[in-house]
Amino acid sequence: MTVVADRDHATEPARAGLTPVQWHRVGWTAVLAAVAVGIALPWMISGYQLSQVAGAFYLALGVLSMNLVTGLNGQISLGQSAFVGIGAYSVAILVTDHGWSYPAAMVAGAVLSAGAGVVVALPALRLRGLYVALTTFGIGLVFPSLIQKFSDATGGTAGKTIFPLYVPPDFLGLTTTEWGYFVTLVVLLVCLLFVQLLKSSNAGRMIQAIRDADLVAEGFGVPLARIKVATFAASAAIAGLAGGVFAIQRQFVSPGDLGLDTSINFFVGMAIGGSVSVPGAVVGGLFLQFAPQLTRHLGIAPIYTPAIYGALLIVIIRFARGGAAGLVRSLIAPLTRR
Amino acid sequence: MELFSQRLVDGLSSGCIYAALALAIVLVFRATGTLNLAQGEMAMFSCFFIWKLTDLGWPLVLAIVAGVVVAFVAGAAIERVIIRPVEDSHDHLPVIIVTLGLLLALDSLAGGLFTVDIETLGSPFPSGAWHLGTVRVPYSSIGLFAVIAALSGLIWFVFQKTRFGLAMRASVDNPESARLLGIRRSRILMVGWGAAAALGALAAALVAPQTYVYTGMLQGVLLYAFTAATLGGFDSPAGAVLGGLLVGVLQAMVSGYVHFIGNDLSLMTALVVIIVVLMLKPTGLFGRPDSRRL
Amino acid sequence: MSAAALEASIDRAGYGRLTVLRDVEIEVQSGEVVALLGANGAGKTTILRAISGLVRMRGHLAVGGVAVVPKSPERMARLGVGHVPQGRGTFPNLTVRENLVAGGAVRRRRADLNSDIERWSEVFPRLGERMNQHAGQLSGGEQQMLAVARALMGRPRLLLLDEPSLGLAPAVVHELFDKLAELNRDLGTAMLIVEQNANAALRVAHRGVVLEAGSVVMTGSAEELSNAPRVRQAYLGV
Repeated sequence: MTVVADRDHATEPARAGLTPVQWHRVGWTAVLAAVAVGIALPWMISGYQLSQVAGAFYLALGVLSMNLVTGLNGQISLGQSAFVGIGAYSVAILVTDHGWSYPAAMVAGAVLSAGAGVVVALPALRLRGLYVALTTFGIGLVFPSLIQKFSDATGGTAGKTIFPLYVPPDFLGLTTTEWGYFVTLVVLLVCLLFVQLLKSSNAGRMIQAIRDADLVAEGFGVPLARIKVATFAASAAIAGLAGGVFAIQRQFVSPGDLGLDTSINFFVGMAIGGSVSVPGAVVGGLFLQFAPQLTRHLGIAPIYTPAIYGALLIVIIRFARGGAAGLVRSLIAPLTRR
Repeated sequence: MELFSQRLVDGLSSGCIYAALALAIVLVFRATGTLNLAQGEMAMFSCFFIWKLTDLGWPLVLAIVAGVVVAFVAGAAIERVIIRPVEDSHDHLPVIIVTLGLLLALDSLAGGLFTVDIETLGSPFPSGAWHLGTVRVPYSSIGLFAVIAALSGLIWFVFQKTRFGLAMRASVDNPESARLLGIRRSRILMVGWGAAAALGALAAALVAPQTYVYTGMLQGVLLYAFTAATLGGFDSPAGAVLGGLLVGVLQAMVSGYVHFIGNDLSLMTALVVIIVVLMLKPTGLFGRPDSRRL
Repeated sequence: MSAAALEASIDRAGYGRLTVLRDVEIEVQSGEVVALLGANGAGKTTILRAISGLVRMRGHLAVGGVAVVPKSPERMARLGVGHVPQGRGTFPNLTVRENLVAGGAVRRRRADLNSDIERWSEVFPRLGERMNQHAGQLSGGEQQMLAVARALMGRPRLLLLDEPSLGLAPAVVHELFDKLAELNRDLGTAMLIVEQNANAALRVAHRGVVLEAGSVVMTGSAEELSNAPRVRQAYLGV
């Protein structure tokens, strides 16, 4: 009969680099620099290029809404384009047919989207993640046909032109494009800040706890239903605001831009930027806006752009689930001192 | 009454297509435990392949057979190369996301490699119809019924009477125990996805005479197929077939009799059915209760 | 001398970053019954899962003297290692007969399966009575017997049993372990039995191994262990 003794353990080696707090400061400095560039941009580039960046910001808002509901809260939503559509058509209809002001119409759009978000989130509470994905997939698929059904108000497949145009106050001396850009920028910054603050707050911790281990979280007193519905509604509101700026930028809405592929593109943008990363949403938006041009530049026919998105999505899920933010984090990790 | 009967026949006819695609969805669910959102896109791509063969001069039936076989191989390959690396019996979401990527890729590739135009594909069944009183039962509908009946019989036989079918059912019932007994999950996964792809190809080829061949040809059909699978229970092949027929008939009746819904809201209604069934009886009419948390 | 049924040398094994086992060496000779004892969380189940390839491990493994590389549960089954998992692991929606047929998955010839099924219905009469019932409808004890019979359908040279007594009434546990001893005597099947119920296990085992906090702390013959004060206090409730 043999009795064996205990063993002892090795210690961890020290590392060189910055402390987490210092990296934090570097991050915020970069953010402030980016915001400054964003504000100065109209004086740096042409009107056309500016409208492109504005388009990227609209896409970033859509991606941000996915970051909130799917990345942080774990509810897979493949129907965000529907909420974008509600926001866009609210602006289109209220401004053109009922004389509302643009800001009021945008707020109304966000509220209506949030309401729709609640309507979707309530039944989703009782469904497994798989089935929430299926249901929202269906919503993304069905939404354009709804627009067609109520074509009297929406203009159907032909779309709806919005007038009067959203013109800036005279004293600012900006063009319509520059005004649209600034409106988009402000909405984007507000939403980014909101999600970032939410993420690091108590509520944000609960939101992410639900994603990671909802039963455990519930056991610790996290109000599952309330938070999941609220998060869904907030995400829908952000998507609604995205729709609002989309309508303002184009002064035109049509179901063609609001189909299932838009929802899936937001998903791709989220995967690229990093599903829990707030700045990642901007990266995702920039990618979605400029990647098609880049591929065209490389000589690849535009029809193949979605195939590249699809391939990227598959590769990211397989090899780099954290997206760009995850890559940045893994680059910084060996340079972080405790 | 005649209009009702006619609608019934037409509904059953489209129901066969939904049943075929729903069977594909169920096969993947049974093998992998998750949903393939790209099922429609895979079927559409196969249909374009079949169309291309006919364009090159192949006879239709031969082209369909070739398309189905190639789809089987491609489906198995997709499972092995793209799905398997992210497959996890505890977390089904990464696979769903990968199928989204597949959806994008196949849709775009079909447009690029084949065409963005709308093409036509003939029917393997003779044209003309059998007249039952004033009700017109097209030969193609009878053909569809026969195909679905044969498929159902085949699937039932494989599942219940063959060793492979038993291995597949065991692997779904308790994946870990099956592995411990030496049942190769790899084979089951590949055959599951391959068979599903083959079914999808067949369904697409059979619906092509009505919908024509283009990249969006199966979007609506896919939703009805998901409705059928939801109604029947995601793990029940019998449920998929009955669900498909039921959805077909309901769709014909509702869009015919309820004018507000008509064609535009038909899809919306299907979605509502999915949501209602998932909430009230998630296992569907024929599915088995899942002991894991729903 | 015939090669050992199993030689396992586990340097490290665990889940992700969590190391559960350290430097564990286990040997099961041909035809031997070894009991693996230890408290909850000691890592006993992890050892079996590491051997079968369900849990990643660093180390070496040999079955019947032949090194096993690469390792997977399917490969281990084909090499003649049957694993009866914790909680039975029967196929609840398949019938008893279908469970047994599935157990023969590694066997090549279909014809033999039926005669084996006959034999197991005699050894476990209660299974014979319920051939066409769904396994999920059986009692705990019956499911345990089914899991054992199912594993034996593969005619393994080594049987790994994970907490077979869990959730069973004492009388059923007694009957089950009697059957295991009988099978070992009649078939010569080697067994590695993980058990919290040290009494039941040591009664039928030839040798025992005690595990504490992921490492082996004691080995010896069943008799030695039954008489060791440390074992008696901690595991035999004496």
